[in-house]
Amino acid sequence: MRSADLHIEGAKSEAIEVAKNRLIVPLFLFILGFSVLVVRLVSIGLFEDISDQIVQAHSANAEIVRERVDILDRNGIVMATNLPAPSLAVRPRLITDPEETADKIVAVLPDLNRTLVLNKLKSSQHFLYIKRNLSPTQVWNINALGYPGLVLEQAEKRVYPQGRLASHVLGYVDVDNKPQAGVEKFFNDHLSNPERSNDPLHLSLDLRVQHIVRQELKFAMDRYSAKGAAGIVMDVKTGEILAMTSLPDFDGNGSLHPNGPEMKNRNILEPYEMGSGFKTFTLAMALDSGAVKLTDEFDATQPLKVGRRTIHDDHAKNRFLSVPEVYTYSSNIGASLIARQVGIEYQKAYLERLGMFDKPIIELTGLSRPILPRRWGEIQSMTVSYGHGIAVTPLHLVSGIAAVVNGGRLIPATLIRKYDDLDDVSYGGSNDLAKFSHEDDYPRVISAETSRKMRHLMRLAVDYGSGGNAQVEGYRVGGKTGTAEKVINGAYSRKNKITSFVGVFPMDNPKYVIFAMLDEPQGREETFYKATGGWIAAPVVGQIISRIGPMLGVVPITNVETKYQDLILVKN
Amino acid sequence: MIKIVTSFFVLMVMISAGTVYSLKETTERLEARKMRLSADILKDRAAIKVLKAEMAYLSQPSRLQKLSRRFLALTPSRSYQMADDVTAISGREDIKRVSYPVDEFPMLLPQEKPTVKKKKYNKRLALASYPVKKKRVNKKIKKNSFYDRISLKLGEGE
Repeated sequence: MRSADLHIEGAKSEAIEVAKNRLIVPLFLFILGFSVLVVRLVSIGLFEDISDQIVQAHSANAEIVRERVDILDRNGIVMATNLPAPSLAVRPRLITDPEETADKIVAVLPDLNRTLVLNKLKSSQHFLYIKRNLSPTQVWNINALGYPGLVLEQAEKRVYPQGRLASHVLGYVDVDNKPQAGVEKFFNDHLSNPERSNDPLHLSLDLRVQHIVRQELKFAMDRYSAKGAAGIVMDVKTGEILAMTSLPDFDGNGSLHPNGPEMKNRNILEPYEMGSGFKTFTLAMALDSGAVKLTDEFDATQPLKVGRRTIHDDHAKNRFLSVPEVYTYSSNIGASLIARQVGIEYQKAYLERLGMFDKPIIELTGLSRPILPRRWGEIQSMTVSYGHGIAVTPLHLVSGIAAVVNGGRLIPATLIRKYDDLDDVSYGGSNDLAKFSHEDDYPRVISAETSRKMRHLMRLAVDYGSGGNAQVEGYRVGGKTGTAEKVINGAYSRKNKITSFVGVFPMDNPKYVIFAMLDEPQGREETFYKATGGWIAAPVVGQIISRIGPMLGVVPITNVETKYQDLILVKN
Repeated sequence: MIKIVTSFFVLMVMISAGTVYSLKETTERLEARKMRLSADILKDRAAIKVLKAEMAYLSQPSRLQKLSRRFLALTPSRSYQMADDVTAISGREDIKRVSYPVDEFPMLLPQEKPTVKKKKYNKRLALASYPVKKKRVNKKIKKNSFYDRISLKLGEGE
């Protein structure tokens, strides 16, 4: 209004006009600048997280970072964890009265030797550990002493709450929490990664099954005075190991003897001659090759002479045996003749496809190679057909049997729980897992038809053959016993045997392979002083199945006729 | 006019300054509280971790087995207790199911606690989970004098 009152004329007025026009430019720039600021302000306020907030949110979710990640079983039960366990150390130069200090330390920690403590207190070094892994009470008492020279260093201790259970699978760590064996060593990259501190390792083991397998094996081992035992339970559809036990075992919490006999995991570390269990592969091979039909008969009337060797039958029938009979009565002669009919090259290729020539596949360290015959001639081919002259680890056998019964896919064994996202799915209750397992991803090693036949043969071996003690009420168990003489000083020993049984259940739709092996068992009165797989290992598997079957939700099946029964002439 | 506008703006500045101050104060208080809380959470988490380890230790299967045998009137389920179908329980064939069960879990039927019986081997092995108790040799007797042993024997005879 006021500017309208003023009236300036001439050159002055022109100059003002120019100035006004020029002012518009900075004005425009200022508006532009401020509007940029405003836009940014609004966008920050509305759409972006304030950096402070991020920090806050993060710290609210902060978890304790541990040196090592927990290991859980498939149901989330802690199998290995890290707990704080401070160490007591000393800075000798800050100790004024070593004698008195030593007295007081020994009073708090009575298991220490006073002289040794005193030596450490008087030492000329800067820093010395006195004791590791103090309990909370001890920490409190040490603090109460109030010596500046005593240092409590925060440390962590690996704790295995389950004690001896699954100790071979878990492995152990040394005093510096460095892994020395088992899953601890194999998955060290994950377990020692601080960023994955809250991402526990889920094993495929089921503690309940593990406990049952261990208990039954321990029971049999004590009963038959065996030197050792091993057992595996494996899911045939996924390759998950539900239990893996080797006896004697150790307690990862206690003091360990790294070279003691209890430290070796018999399931992967020691190749054994598996004996008749191998006939399963011979039969599968024969049926697959087409060279042998189920109705073929083989001459087992007398021991078979090959070169300088003679092959005997343990349960000799002294007559012609049909193919199911060869398997059921565990005829070494029959298996040898079948192997001869199939041919050496085919046998080698077949066993190689089944993974028998390589180390077993599993997430453990210290895997052992199988011991193969040096020269693969006719004799060797024949002995291999019934499981002698070739030594494989129990895991080889279990993986192979799983492939034979699951429809012919060789699925590598794993110790890691598959299908992480299926937390709410009961893995045994129904066929849920079958839906999610991609069996087609795995190489086919046996035809589906042969696999189906083999299931029936394995069932026959339990129904009529040596595996009768593995029968379980309510479940159709199939399997094969194995008894092998141990090689001692280069010769087979008649007394010392490895007895094993590899069982599968339920036979109509196999879910689990159960393997039990005892090392040098001694027969007892109730086994008629026999130490064979049928008398010693088969009942163990039977017991395990009767206990884990309902636990894993395997529905019992009432009668389904076993095929090829008519080919068996005499019930054993 | 100018005075009104100016005093209005001065007032506004004072109010906004006050608001900012009190906001900042509140935020700092909240911040401190939050720090305390997250420290507590961290502490609790550490405690939970220890408790979980302890729980795993206390629920070792072998320990639970002993306890349940002693205190519970239940046993592990057996195969014949399981049924996946109504027909398996009723024994009838002509059952029409109205709807499917809520879950696919097999049903567990209650079972009486068995008593341990000695059985011949050819029937069934003694269960590993039901060990036969070994008779304890009373070592005290051995340490006793001859006279004591005689009197104990006499006492037994009565």
